[in-house]
Amino acid sequence: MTGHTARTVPLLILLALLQLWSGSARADIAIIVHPQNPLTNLTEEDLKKIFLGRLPLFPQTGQEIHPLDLPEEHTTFADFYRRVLQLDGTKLKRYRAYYLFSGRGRLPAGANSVVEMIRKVSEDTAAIGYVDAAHVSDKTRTLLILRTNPEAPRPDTQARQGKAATTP
Amino acid sequence: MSKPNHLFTKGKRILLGLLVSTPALAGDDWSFSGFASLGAGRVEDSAYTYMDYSGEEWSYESDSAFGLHARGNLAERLSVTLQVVSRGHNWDDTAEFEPELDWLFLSYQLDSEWRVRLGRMRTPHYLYSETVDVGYSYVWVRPPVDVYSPLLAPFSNFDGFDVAWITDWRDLTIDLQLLAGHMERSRDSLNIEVEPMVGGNLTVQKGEVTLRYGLIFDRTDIEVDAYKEAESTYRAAASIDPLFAEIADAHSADDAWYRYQTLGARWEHGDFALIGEVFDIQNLDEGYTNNANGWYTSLQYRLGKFTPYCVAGQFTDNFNEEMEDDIQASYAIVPVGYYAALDNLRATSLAVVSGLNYEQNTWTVGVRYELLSNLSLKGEWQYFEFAYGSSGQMQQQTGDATQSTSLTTFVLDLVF
Repeated sequence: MTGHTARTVPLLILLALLQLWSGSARADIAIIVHPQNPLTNLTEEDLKKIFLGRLPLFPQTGQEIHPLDLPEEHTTFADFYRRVLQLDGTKLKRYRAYYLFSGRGRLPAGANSVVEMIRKVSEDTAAIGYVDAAHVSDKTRTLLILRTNPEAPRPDTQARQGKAATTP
Repeated sequence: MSKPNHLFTKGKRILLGLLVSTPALAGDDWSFSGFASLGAGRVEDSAYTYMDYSGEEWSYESDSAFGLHARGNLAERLSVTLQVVSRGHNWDDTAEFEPELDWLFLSYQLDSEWRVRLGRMRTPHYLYSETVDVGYSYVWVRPPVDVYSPLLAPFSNFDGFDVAWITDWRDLTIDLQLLAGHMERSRDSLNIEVEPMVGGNLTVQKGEVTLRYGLIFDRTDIEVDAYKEAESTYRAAASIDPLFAEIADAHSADDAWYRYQTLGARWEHGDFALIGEVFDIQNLDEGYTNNANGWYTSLQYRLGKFTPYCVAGQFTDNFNEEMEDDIQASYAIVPVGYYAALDNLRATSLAVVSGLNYEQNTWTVGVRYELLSNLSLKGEWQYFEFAYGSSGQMQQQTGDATQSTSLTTFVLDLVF
């Protein structure tokens, strides 16, 4: 896992994804980590588990994960959870109340803005966050790009709706 | 018996010490949150009461609760969690709104799948047992009474440890929890002590369907002052006939192994959800028994900010059935009229047993409305029907009660 691979792989993915989805009207979402985070890739399934609180340590490295959330009112927040977990605000809130108050673990810490999200990720090697792909900064490294297009959900997204619906 | 108590008290002191003596920890290492519920309810028929709800007037304590939750990171993978809850109604001897420590544990993440916790925890009997007080976390006003019965309230938390295994296998998500510990509570004139409590539960989720099976064994000592006197009178009568010794044994609730079994299922399909749970409690030993079983099925459908729901359920309590048979049989050996004290006692015992043998059916309709992103309002109407002339889980206030009644409740649930 050399620095060279760590840098080029996500870049190639990024370029490929940008080319594929350049026609999409909605903003894509970039999953960002600290530049020195040794992780080179992350599956969408792992990402889902991280933000559901089911994956507390980074795969491969075993480092404790510090997930970060944008404010609930932020459009990227809603886009992210709809895209990754197929959960709207109400279902997510109910799931999280259950998760937190049943002593299962902690919830993602908050970042007040995109700038604060980037700053927090750039200062913590264990952090993981998400921003509008158009706002990615050099201070962080992008692990994964997600397409968001809630107006036209793909058929498979519909079919998988229940997969993450662990809302009590 | 006192040793583990002492150990836990010591452990609790160390944990509390850690909490108050670590101001040096950065703010990011601690998170604080909480919940609150404000309820109002009224029973239709003044012959019955349920919790603090009666037929006389609206009352506001029974479903009201406040909780504060703190979690701190002590080191990489090591955290401490604390939750204090103050309830308007307690099923044990705790005073109204007296704060209680529901959670206080250390948690250590061994690897990405295994976690151990040590301290005080909520007993995970059923799907929602760990968040019964957090109304926001479920759709109902309160989890269905036929399964989340007052019978289990004294067993709501324990001191001990658990091991959790959270993993994926093919397209299944699997949660396994194994636990061991002890608990001690007092309720009315009952002192209940459980040591050990051992068991676990397995939750498997595949797509829209979640299945959960739970199994817990409790070695239970129940001390009831009133029974002690009765037991010694029956014991003395054993010199007339050994049958009275058996009746005396049925009053002794010491050292009995109870088995708690439960099966839960949840199917969620878009805005629709179907939830059902069934439980069975059995005393595995001879003598005093308080067996129970019950189930509920709940259907909900979300329409924008509204989620209407309906629930059907049944609860059965079997109390000392063997004792009842023995007392009835004893009348053939010692008919009424020979010993006044024994006659009175037998009549009292039979009345107690029949009062605690009951069956109830409930039907509930309600709606949850999302007022704000962290605040919901719920209204619910619950119809109770009682069998065998009993009053089910309600308390009967007068003799001329009908065999059914209803309870109307509104509650505001907040998380922050």
